[in-house]
This record gives sequence, C-alpha cells and structure tokens, in this order.
Amino acid sequence: MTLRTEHDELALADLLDRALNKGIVLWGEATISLAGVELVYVGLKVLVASYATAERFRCAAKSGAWLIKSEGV
Amino acid sequence: MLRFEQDENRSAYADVRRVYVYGIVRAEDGEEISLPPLDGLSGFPVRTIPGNGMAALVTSLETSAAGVPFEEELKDPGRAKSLILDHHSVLQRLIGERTVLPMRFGALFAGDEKVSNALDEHRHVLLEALERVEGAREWGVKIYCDLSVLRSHLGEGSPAILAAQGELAAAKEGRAFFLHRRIARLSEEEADQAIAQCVEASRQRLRAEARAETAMKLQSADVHGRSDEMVWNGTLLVAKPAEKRFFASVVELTHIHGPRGFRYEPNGPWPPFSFAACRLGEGEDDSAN
Repeated sequence: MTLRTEHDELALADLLDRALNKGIVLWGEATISLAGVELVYVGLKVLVASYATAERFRCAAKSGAWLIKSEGV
Repeated sequence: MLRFEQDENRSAYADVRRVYVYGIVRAEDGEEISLPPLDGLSGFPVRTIPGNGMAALVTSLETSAAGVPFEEELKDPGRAKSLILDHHSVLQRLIGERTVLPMRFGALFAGDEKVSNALDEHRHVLLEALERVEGAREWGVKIYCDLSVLRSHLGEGSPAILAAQGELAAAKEGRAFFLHRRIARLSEEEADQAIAQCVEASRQRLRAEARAETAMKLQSADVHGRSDEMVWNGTLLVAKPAEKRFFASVVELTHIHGPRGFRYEPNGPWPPFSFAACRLGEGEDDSAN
C-alpha cells in the first residue's frame, strides 16, 4: 500500500495548534505585549472553530506560495 | 474591516528598527550561514543575527508594504492568517537542510541588539533545546475510528453481553428494557476499551521509532471535517534517518488495526514546534503538555 503523507499540504488547525501554542517564547524581550498577541490568538481560534472548517493549504511547488484549498464540508 | 489611521499609528512605531524572529539555528562563531532565497513576512527578506554559538533568523519589520504596523495587521484575521503562513513557510523551507528551533508566532524585538541579548541570556537553555531537536523533524499522526466498523468487528461481544442477550429472549417487558440498556452500555464500554487499546498500542509502536512523542488536543468533526471520529492526535519528533522506519510502522499499524475501523493519517514534516519546550522570560513553561 502507499502512504499519503500530505507532504505539501497542511490543515490550518494543525498549523495554528503548533505555531500559536508551541515553539520557543522569549516574551521578556519581545516588544509586543503578551496580552496583545493573546488577543489575536483568541480571535484566530474562534475563526478556526467557526467557519474555517477543515481549511487546508497547499504549497505551490514552484512559487512556494500557500494557496487555500477549500474542501467540501 | 480594519480601520487604520495611518499617520497617527505610524509615528508611534517609527523610531524603532524592529526585528521579527522566526527561529534559531546553531552556528559556529564567525560562520557565514547560507540561506536559500527566502521570502519572510509580507515578502521581506530573511537574514541572520549571530549570537553566541547560535544565529537567529530574522526579518527587519517596521511596517508592512502598505504602511501598516504588525500589531495592526494582526487585528485582521485574514492578514494574521497569512502572516502565520509566512512564519511557517520560512521555517519549513529550512528544515530540509538544517535544524531549526522554531519560535512561537509573534516574536517581535526592538532591534538586533535585543535579539543578541536574548540569545546571550538564554544561551544554555536554547542550546539544550537545539541539541534535543538536532537532525529531527516533527511528524503528526492522527488516528480516526469508524465506530460502525469497530462495532461490527466486535461482533456479538463479550460474555457479559451474550449473557444479557440470552436473558433478553425470555425476559418480560420491564426486565427487557433494563437489559437493552445494559447491552447498549456494555457495547459502548467495549468499543471505548478497544479504542483505548488501539491508541496505546499505536502510541508505543510509533514512539519506538521516534525521539519523543506528545499528544495534541483532539479535533472535533467541525475542525477535521471527516465522518470518522478522531481518537488520537499525536505528534512525534523523528530523526531524519529514522523517517523510513517511522512510516513503515504507520503502514504496519494500518495493517493491524485497519480492519477494525482504525485509520492513520500522518501529517508533516513540521518544524519541531511541539518539542521546542521552552517559554523563557517569565519563568513559566507551558509547552511541555
């Protein structure tokens, strides 16, 4: 059998779970207030939870740009 | 829609040369780090700031091409989403070639010097984290379960269910109602148990090919958009030479558990976001979950 690895495709929810919740944080030095960024996060999470259902992005192989790929819900 | 009073806001940010940080790589002192041509946030170029045995991957960022400061752009969900994708793309382009410790989205510093200071101050912890993820990438694996397949595979069920069914044939109305409910509850418990066993066995099998493993929160059907139920949303740190074996183990698990309705969906590779595991500067580490 072959395995589909979604090498060039990512789900918005999977990205937000990582880029907004994980990764190194050096808030003590950063210029944006933690509260300011947290507000943005809350807004984005609502976005994901509501209408951005199963939104996926496909990386265009040549340009490297991320294209939104709508998937039937 | 975002309303933006350009002149007023611009003056508030105009006097700082601000720097956005994507991630940190290891670098010998004086080493020239060759980056592939990279578009950073809003298409601005990516450069490096050397630190003590490390280098930060950054973009100078005062305002967007349209003259809007970063903080203001974040208030527009569409723009914020596109900036997060830009952040990810930079890291993603690099993980094929070298180990990158990804920053959480939104790390904006007041100039190069502040970035160097941060690298200095947290040198020990950052180098340790880089060591942990050295030569490895993050791969997610989601397990879905088709409950109807699982239930039919479990068939007539456990001795307790069979006994209840046997009794049901001869039972009077009141007793029958009770027995029906008992059978439903027992079947549900049986399915839950089968799911827990499959998840645990899968977790251990995948973990055997990985350097570390952690569970992310389960996504509801609204988010994943499938008809099956998500029963595990794991993510693993896999050394590059072990990736082949890791994928072989996913295939193996599909052979073993697929007939009972379990489906494995890998995703990645990701920069090792989930294994960076530090939150520095306020004495708290919340990323170890």
